Amino acid sequence: MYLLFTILSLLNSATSFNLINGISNYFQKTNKQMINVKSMQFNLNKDSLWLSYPLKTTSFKDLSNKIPQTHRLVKCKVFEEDKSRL
Amino acid sequence: MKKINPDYRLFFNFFQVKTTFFTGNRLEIVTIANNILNNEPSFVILDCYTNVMSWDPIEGIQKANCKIKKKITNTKYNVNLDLKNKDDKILTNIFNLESFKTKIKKNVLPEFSIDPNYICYFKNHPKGYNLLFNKKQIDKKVILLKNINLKHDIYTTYIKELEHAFVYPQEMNFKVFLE
Repeated sequence: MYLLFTILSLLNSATSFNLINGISNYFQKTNKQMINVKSMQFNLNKDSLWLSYPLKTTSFKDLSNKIPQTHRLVKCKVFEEDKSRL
Repeated sequence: MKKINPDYRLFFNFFQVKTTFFTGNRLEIVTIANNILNNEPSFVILDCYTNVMSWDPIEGIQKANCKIKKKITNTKYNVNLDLKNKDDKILTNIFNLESFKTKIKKNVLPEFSIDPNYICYFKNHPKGYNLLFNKKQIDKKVILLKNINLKHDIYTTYIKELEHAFVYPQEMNFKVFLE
């Protein structure tokens, strides 16, 4: 979830232009080298949102092709009981 | 109380993320899949909409692909997302949520909130990414949303009706290992 390789995200300030370019260039360079960065800390603000949908059975095959071949879709649930259902 | 049966599920996860240098919003489309060999679950990010630069192991550096407006208060949770084209021009609105926070707090199951976070994947890229986090920080009650008015055009042919909508009230800290 939590996204992960959100390694980047960025900037709202116009004054950050040079920084953006610098970072962009850095990552373009490291992209080719397969990323120099070994790890990165990232913090999620409060109020991260989750919306949950059951899949249609007709979409199972298509979605299975969108995930790594080493994995298979799995049934899961979010809450123990039904109180939270909309 | 009626039991919920396990099912194949798709999730929309919207959040603001901060690193030392960067701040931005993301809407990730996510599912849960198990490793065939050891049965360990993982979140798999299927798509990502963000209003800032991003990186992923398939496409590398990516520009912001959408414009996001949000209004999140103690009572409201509203998010609006407009898709951009390659010229950075707004194409169309693809996600609009208007909702209210309830006073109801609920525990989510660790098989959803904790277990799939240890190794995450991006689309069908074979390499997973390890995440380090504090279970106790994540394993807290969520706040349910109500009076939900949601219109979107994302994976609509894949999903049934919206089942749950909730918010984690706390901040969360993760460390992702890229090797």
